[in-house]
Amino acid sequence: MSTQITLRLKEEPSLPVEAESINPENLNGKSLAEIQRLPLWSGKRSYPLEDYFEVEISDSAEQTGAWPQETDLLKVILWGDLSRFKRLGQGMSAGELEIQGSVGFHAGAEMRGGILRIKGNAGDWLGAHMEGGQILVEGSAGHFTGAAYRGKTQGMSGGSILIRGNAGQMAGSRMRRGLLAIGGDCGDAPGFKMLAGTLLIAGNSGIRAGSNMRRGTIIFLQPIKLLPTFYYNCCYRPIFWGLLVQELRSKGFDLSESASEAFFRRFSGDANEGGKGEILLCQSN
Amino acid sequence: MYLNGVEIEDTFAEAFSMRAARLTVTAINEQWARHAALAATGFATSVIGCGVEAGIEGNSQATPDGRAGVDCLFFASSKDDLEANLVKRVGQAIMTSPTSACYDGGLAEFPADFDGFSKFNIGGKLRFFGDGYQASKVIGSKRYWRIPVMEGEFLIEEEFTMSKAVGGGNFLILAESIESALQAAEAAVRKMQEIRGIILPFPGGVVRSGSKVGSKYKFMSASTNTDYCPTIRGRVESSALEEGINAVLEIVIDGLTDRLVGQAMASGIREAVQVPGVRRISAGNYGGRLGKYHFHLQQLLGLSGGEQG
Repeated sequence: MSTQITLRLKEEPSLPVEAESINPENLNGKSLAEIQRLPLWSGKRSYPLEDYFEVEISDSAEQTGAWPQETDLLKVILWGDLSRFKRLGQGMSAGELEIQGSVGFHAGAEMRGGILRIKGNAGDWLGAHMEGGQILVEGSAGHFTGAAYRGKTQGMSGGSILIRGNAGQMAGSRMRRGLLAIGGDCGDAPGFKMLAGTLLIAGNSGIRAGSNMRRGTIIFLQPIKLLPTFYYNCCYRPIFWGLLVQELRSKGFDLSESASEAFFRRFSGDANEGGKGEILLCQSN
Repeated sequence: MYLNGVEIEDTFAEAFSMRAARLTVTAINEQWARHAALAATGFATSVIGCGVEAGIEGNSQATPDGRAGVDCLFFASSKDDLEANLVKRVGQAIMTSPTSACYDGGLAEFPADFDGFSKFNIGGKLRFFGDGYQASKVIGSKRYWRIPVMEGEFLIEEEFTMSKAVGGGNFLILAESIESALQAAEAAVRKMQEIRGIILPFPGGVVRSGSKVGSKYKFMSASTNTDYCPTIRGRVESSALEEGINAVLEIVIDGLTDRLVGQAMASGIREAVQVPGVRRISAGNYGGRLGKYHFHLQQLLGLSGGEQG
């Protein structure tokens, strides 16, 4: 049985809080008093964590649910609407961070391992520059999920981000490796300047999908109008899709029973960038 | 000692360390998965002439892509031999088969923390067939290669798992007639094929041309097992056959562990001795000087003394 740390939000703050210090590795091995004294910046001032949260340390009980478990690692659970808390789980590399509510910007950014579960919604830049681990969002995510920060050339380079709801604009922009799956709709320009990796969008998509993509795969389960710089190859059933379906289901991502039997129309593009990327449009819906 | 009235000779089978890997071959249906698996495991009876020893274990319980699949085991003398031969066999026999894909079947017979596994690369070498149009896809923690072919894509896992294993377990069925020997061998093979983690690499699981080391001819390193050839019994002073034995068949077993090989040998022998006309069960060895593993027949069968059954 592993240690579980529970943080309950006392009151929603009026200003955004920089909360990158709240991740399993940083809390691991600390006493109750040490955790309560952890600094959280808000505006130009630093406040102790206990100003925002009630802290409780206990042994982790076994939990059931759709998402996978990593019960042998330290688990941190946060309760409350944390929409104004930014950078939760940023850079985490092990353990499990579960948020029973919504989170602000940059959650799981630069994450290297472990599991970040978000039961509510996530803000912009979810999993930006992520290198490994899993982010599981039961609600929706904002813009630039798995993307690269301004001035950077590569976005997420590993791990997986699974979103049951919708995502904003430029999901997977400049992603280099890894898996980003969106159960609902997404905004414009998903996979913009994508370098590699896999982006799955189960719902409807905005315009300019895959624009300037160099490599990688974008899979759409709903019809979409593509840019003219994507050229049609054939209609077939990619074998790797069967593996991907099993992988997604094993992580609790909902796909229809017949999903693994789907046929796809394969397009290559973006022709402006060499045409080595691919977009797969499902033909079975 | 006797089992069901059949003599169990006080001897042992001598087996060797080999390297083994399991491949899972999938396709659009079981028929095409089996076509590919049969081709890949064909002409793989002995490392001496074929490079590898291989066989089909049976249908896969669960496959990575959710399609029908067949598990195959491959054994070779060394890591390099296994890799070199599998690159050829997967490239020529599995990639060529319509709708096929090929995955590392893992070696679940060993404990999860077993430190004797090593990885070798097949997909990463076959990818060049794609002539620059190949693409990789990382799913979970594994990398796969997608090679464009005329009916779509051939998908193959980049790395496969190999481990030390055991090759050359065997026993001989000495019978009054070929009919009896064959019937006993067939019964033994049926029973042994119920065990996962082993293969019987010879045709139908049975070999009739057992060999001995050396020959009167300098250019031959091995030759027919003269001591067990009934047609020359009167001419061979060291013949191991007594009057009344007119046919001998051998079953060779390769397995992932010595426990599996021993278990398979015991279950096969127990089936073989049920067939009328079987006189004796023996085993092939080299005096115990060459092989690491010795499978003593009487010990395997739990015969402690006197006639059994």
